[in-house]
Amino acid sequence: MVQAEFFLSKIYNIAYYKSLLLSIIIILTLVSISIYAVMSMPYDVAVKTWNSIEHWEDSPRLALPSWVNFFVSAKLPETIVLDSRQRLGQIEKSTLYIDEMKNITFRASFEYSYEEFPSEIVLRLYVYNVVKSGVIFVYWAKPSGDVIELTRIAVDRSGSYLYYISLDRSLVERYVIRVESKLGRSPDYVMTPEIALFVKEDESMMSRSTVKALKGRYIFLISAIFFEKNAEMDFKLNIYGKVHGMFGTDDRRRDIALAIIWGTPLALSFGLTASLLITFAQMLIAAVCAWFGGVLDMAVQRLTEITMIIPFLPMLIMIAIFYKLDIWTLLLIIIALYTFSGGLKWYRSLFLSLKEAPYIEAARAYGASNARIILRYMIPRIIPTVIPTLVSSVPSFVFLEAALAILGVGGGLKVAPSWGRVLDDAVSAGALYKGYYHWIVFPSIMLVLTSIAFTLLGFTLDKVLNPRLREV
Amino acid sequence: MRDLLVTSNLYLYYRTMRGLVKAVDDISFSLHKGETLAIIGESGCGKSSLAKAILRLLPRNTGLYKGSIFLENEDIAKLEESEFRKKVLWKKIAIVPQASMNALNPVLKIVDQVIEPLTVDGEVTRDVAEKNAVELFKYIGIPVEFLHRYPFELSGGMRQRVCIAMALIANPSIVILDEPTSALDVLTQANIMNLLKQLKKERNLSYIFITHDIALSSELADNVGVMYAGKLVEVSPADEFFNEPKHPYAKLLLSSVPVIRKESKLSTIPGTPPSLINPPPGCRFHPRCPYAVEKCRKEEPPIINIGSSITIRCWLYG
Repeated sequence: MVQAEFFLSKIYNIAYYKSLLLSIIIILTLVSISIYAVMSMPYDVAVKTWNSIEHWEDSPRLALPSWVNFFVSAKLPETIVLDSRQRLGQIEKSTLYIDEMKNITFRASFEYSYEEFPSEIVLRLYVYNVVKSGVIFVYWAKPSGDVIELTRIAVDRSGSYLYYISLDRSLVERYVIRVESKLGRSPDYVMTPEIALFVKEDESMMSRSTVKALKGRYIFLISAIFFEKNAEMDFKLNIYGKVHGMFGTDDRRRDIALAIIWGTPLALSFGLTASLLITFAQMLIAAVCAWFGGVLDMAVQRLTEITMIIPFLPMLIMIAIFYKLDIWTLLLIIIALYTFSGGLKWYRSLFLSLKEAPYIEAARAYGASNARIILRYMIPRIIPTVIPTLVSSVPSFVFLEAALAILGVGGGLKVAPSWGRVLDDAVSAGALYKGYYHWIVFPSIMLVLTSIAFTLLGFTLDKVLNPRLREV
Repeated sequence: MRDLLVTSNLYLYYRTMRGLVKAVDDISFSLHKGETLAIIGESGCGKSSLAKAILRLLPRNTGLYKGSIFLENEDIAKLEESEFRKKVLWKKIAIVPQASMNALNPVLKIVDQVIEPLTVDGEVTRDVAEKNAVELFKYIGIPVEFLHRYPFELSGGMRQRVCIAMALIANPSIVILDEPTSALDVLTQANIMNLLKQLKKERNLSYIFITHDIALSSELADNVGVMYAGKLVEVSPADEFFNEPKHPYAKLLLSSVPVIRKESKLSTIPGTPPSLINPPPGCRFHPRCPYAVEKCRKEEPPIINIGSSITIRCWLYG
């Protein structure tokens, strides 16, 4: 009962600090994100997904977060996918047999209600059971009724065919000629296939600043002729938008949300593992050194001085590059190097004064063994002063991981979707220079939030547990 | 009465940068069953070192440790370290340490602390040990609910009682009391002294009572030993000692104690206690001794027996 009261008073003490409330809210959020991440996707799946190309086929490149649309007047388009295999979108299929020939026609339509143009358009064709040749015609009809012939594709075998509409310069050339004959002059900027396919054909299209997309129902037509009766065909049309998900995408179409969510458990586990193991290793080694002294103490102290003199980060980079280590092996090296650092000396100095305490002498008198004195008498005594340090050192390891990632250390081909990795990709793609701020900002916010939370928690615990800082 | 504990020619020197500190130098005495030996002397004369030497609590800088300690006719100084720990420490000889205000581990609950001496070897289960602790607390008069508190929640007197309880938990026959009341106020001091007397009577304990408080030692002592600069200069029965001390140092020591009803000038001993690294040759007390003769300056006095019960190291009786 006395204990309960004691505990309650401690909790009251802690609740007294508002900063603690904030830090606990942030940490709980981070922890629940971590739990969600691990529950929804195991680590290896996350790594595989993050590094796959097929998985991100349907998302746009360098898209902004979806919620940007709440703040802009001209809405940015979402991605539209028409897929005959999965019956995505309004698709009608008709088949016609003429002698030995087979004609397959897809008529797909979709509603486009944005003034902004899509970012990319890609058509994928999947042809089955074809050994002779065939030809596929692709048409595009605007809501105004204008029909554009996009291309003709000759096929001579089964497989998938990619028609990257966004890169079709001839399409633009043909379209500009058509516009010239219709409106009398050509636009004063370089048109892209996306603009050509979606533009509203009036005076506004002549200038880059006024050009707008035509809203309404678009029709997409594929007509294929094969010289085999059992030939089959499917298609997928991706009209990539300019917004995607909560956090946007990077230049490999990857959803940054995956890295934000899976980066949380990675950052927390990296930071917590490092600081917990380092602190306890330091405490144990320091206690053993202080208690036994002699040659062991001497050796450990000299080793510590050597590692303190060697610059930590260059040493780490050198090891990581020489041995091509992944991030978890690197973590072990960090722990080993960091254990023999200034902290060890600090703990040792605490233990040196502590080992002369009367109660330790008393413990020796009733025959407590060395191990018992170290584990039951010395280490528990300094834990209250150690916990704040432990908590405050978590962010430095989270940042260390990010720093190593940005320096390109501890990777290999399969890299984990950590915040630092995203920042590394962003920096090497020149994200800040090109204005892809979302790519940099969200992982940075996560890093900063994590460090603020642990730092505030550490400070508050220090105030509560350290008698010299206790507020009255 | 047979001898329970006999030490003969016990030495404990410490190594320091400046030389050997002769803290316990050739000390011999005997302790009987149920008897209290008070060891008195100035600060730094080696009283606590004597306790450490008996319990073999040697610091790392021990320079010399030799002599024999017979406990029930067995030389415990010859026992192996582990055997000594298992058989003697706390089971036979326990200590109430100096500064016992701080002798309790601040992160252990009282109950965990008190049963530590029993459970360190894993010989006694926790349940049994806890039962012992509860009984002992009732016997000593500490509220049993204190068992589940932390040391900082207890007053100085209570902590002292806890230390005494801890000393008694393994049923030793000898308890070394190293200035057990030095940090307490006089009322608490009186309480603790009464408790010690009661324990002595009811449990037939033998005490080695180390103190610099001569008045207090008269409360408990059967025999009084006077230490000066690492040497035991006089051992006398308490009655005789307090009526008429023999050794000049003991005489001066007693006359420096204020007496409440007599109007008399308080005397001091001129000079300072000698360095234990380079003690004076001959009798160590001779630079301050009013009776010193030439012989005192040159030769060290041997142990001299006066009658059957008094031993003394002084040329005046030689």
